[in-house]
Amino acid sequence: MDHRSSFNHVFPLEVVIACVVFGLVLVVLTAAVVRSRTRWGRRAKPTKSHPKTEGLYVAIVAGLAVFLVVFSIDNNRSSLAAHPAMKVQVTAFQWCWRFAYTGTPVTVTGQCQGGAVPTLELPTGKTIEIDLTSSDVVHSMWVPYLRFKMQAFPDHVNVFDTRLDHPGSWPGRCAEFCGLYHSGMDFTLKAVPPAQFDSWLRSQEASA
Amino acid sequence: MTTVVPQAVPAGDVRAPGLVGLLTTTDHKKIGLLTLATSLGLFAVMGAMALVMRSQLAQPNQHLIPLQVYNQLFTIHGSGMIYLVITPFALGAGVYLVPLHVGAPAIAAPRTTLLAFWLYAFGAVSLLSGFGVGGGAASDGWYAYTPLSDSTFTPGSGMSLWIVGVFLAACGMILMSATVLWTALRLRAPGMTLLRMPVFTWSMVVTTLMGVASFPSLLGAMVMMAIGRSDPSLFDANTWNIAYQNLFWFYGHPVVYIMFFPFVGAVAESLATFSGRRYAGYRPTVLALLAFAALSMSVWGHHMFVTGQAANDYYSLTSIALSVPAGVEYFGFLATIIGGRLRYTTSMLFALGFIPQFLVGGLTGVMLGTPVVDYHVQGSYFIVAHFHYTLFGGSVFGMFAGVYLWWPKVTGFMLSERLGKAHFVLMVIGTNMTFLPMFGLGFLGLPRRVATYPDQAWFGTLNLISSIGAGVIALAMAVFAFNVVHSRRHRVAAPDDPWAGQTLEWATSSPPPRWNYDVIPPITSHAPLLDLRDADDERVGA
Repeated sequence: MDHRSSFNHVFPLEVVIACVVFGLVLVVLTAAVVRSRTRWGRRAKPTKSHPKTEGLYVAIVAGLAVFLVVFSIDNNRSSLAAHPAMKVQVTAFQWCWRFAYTGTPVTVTGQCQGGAVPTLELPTGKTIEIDLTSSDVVHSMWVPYLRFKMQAFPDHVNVFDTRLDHPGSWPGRCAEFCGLYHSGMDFTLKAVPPAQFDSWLRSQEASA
Repeated sequence: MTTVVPQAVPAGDVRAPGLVGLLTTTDHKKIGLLTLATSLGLFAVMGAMALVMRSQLAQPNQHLIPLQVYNQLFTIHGSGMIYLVITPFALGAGVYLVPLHVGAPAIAAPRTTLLAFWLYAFGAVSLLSGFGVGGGAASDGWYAYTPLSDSTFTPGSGMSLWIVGVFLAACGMILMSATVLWTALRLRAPGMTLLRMPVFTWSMVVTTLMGVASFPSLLGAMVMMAIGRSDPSLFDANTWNIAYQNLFWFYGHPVVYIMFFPFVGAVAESLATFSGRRYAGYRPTVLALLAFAALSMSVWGHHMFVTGQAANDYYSLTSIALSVPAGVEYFGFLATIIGGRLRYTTSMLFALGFIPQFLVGGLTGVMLGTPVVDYHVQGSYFIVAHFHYTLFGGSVFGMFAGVYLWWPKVTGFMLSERLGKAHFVLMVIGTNMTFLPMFGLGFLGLPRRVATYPDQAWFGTLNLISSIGAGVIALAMAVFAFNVVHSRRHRVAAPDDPWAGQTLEWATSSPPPRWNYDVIPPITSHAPLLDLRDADDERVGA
């Protein structure tokens, strides 16, 4: 599931719609102020009801709302890949992360304090399933680059998948307040080419 | 001119004089004023906490205050503003104005209303007294998710005092909602039909409907959390943690509109009064308010898009559907001012400022109602920006539109318009400087509720702008406080109707007498005083 491209598909259009609506309201507001200047010394025109205008207006707003609902739901296809290339069990805890590579003895974790944040290393070009849980309170796993986050609950596993097309390294954070050291609960997401990832995993297995 | 004599009322006030009399009053105006004054005082306290937080966040990697103190400050700032400031202010305005608006001599169940104020006051004391106990005040945010808020992860009595405080204040808000609703539905003067009630009073009707329907869910959540503090093993099970979120947000979304509609009502009254014409689209607006209130009970899950345990598409549908009644309300605002002869009083400026600023909050709300966008910006500064545009750029501006509009009626003296305008200009600058950069911060990846943050590109700059903006808001509030003190010292007595008002309260004295009206003018529409002026004009052939 490429959340970044879904976001990039939806967000810019919603920003444009928001700007157009905001602009229209500003124009009407300005027009009211300007027209009022020409009414000095005269009384306000009595308000009249304009059922047709109002009906048309409601129809336009409702049409826009229907479009946005359909657009929103259509882009929220959170179907999981049936056969992910690999799985990682992510456990959030107060106040750091543990990444366990399913089917291997490899586990990466840390203390998160003093800049020593753990790295979630993943291969590029493959669909990876993340099984997310917590061992204490509610946390939330957020990688801003991926435009995605998911809450981590104790006694519950949330599953999502992701795919990284380019090698790179991005900050990840806890996005749900989880107590004293919440602000330092960071990790790094690192994507490397599959061959490099395999040799990294083998070296980790050897030392595990 | 026909007049309607109000119902028979007791002759005088038999209450004790002085402070005891004030604190035991059954006069809805005094109960309303007690509530409004208490919430304004607490507003200053919560604002001061925000200033300390903005100082801490002005630059990356700062440690002006300890983490634990920061966590207490954002928790009490958020819970204080929601439970103890904006909600009570909204309902307190209803306690004061609704009986006047419907031509009633008193509020329904005045003793219950007074009890509501005291429950709220003791709730505030309990919530704030956390700062005086070992371990400090509650520190888990205004929605205090379990299991973080249970006694394993948050030991200490600060959190327990918070639960008691929220519970008491919520009980007060339920009772206050009930008596205001009862007054509007059952104590209207002869001639005051439902569809002749002012827009403000209609906004209070829908507010109080949501209050009685949604606050009990908060009580349920608080009881569950209290049980969890005696036996934390309750929250070992996911069922109860997700149940807490559902119970909480079933209250937590309608309360957003409880904190918003009364100020929409105040803005509507201000726009109509200072456009010199009756409010346009009255019936569609009433219908939109009712539809909004009904829909508001079905959207809570949009706060839970990232739980992986909510029906996201359904909540996206109901949330985005809210834009239709919201659009009708905006039609009413704009249709009222187009073609009017606008008078730029301070109240009107705040009402006009409300329109674009709340719109920023509303339009970003549509984005948050879209799951794929929410997955990124939920829990970030984008949300902080969004709800401060609705609650500060919107509600607080509407609050001041109302304060400047009704101040002369309530106190009997005028506020300085010159200082009022300085207040307004500083507020517009401060609000947008503080909250606009936060959209960028959230988009770039800054989570909310962090006591400090790394030196990532733009984080320092945008936070610094925001912190300076907070200082400008503080200056604006100081100007308002000075205005109150100054105008009281150089007292200019308020006439009964300083603004050429349209609703009943402008026909009685400023401030109104104990039983509100000696004579009630004929009620022929939702703008009865405007009707009287029009009839006079016709008689003299104007």
